[in-house]
Amino acid sequence: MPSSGRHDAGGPGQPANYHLDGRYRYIERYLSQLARLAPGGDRDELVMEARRHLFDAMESAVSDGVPAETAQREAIRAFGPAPRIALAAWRARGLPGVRWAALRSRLLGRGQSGSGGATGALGTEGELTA
Amino acid sequence: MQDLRKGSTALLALQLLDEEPLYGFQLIEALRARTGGVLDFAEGMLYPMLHKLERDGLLEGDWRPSLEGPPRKYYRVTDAGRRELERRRRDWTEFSAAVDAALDARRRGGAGKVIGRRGVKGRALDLAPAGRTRR
Repeated sequence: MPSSGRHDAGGPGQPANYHLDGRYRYIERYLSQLARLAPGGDRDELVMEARRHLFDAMESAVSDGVPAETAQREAIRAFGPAPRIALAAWRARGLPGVRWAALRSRLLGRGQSGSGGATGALGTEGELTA
Repeated sequence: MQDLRKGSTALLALQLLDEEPLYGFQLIEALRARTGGVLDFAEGMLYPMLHKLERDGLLEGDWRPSLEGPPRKYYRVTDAGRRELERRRRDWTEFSAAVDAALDARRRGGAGKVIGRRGVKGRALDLAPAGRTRR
């Protein structure tokens, strides 16, 4: 049965079963990819926080009149590609240089560094955008 | 401008979280609001950084349930984080004062006072070529 409204999957006063609601299928697909790539020590928290973040971003757009599917896609785009986020998580855990280079090559593809180079864009200090 | 923004993310996060506990999405919104949208966290990249600051003992996080959707993790600055914030703020002030001094000298049309490789308090300025900053 399709969802009839916002946050109603868990019933009144109950946390929504957002992860079972088809309304969030693009987000859940993205989170699955993130979970596969993220380092074990960070995986659960990273995925839980990403879920909450995407949920907030999507619901904010939906309340502005954006269709749910478009809102999901836009929220995911703004969050960033899962391999890049996972790589930043590996980097933040102090992955040794040799393993870092191999992992970066595997996740992003050889020679792909993104804007400003991999270490700049993916450093543990995070990144600011305009 | 992108190079200037790099490296200041942790400083900005510590500053905002020192004022009140926030979760990631709120932190991004707070920075946007405070800077009129000029500065913005790269959304997904924020979380690995927050986790690192937490592992380093500079932040503490706690999960709070939400009736609407998944739980949220709120971060707040620890005592060690507050000391680190002060240190980074001092570094930033010194750096920006040195840049201002250089730009002011240029605007006045002369070479101005040469500050060379020394910072405003006698510390060496760490200026890498092509906008890259070494630590």
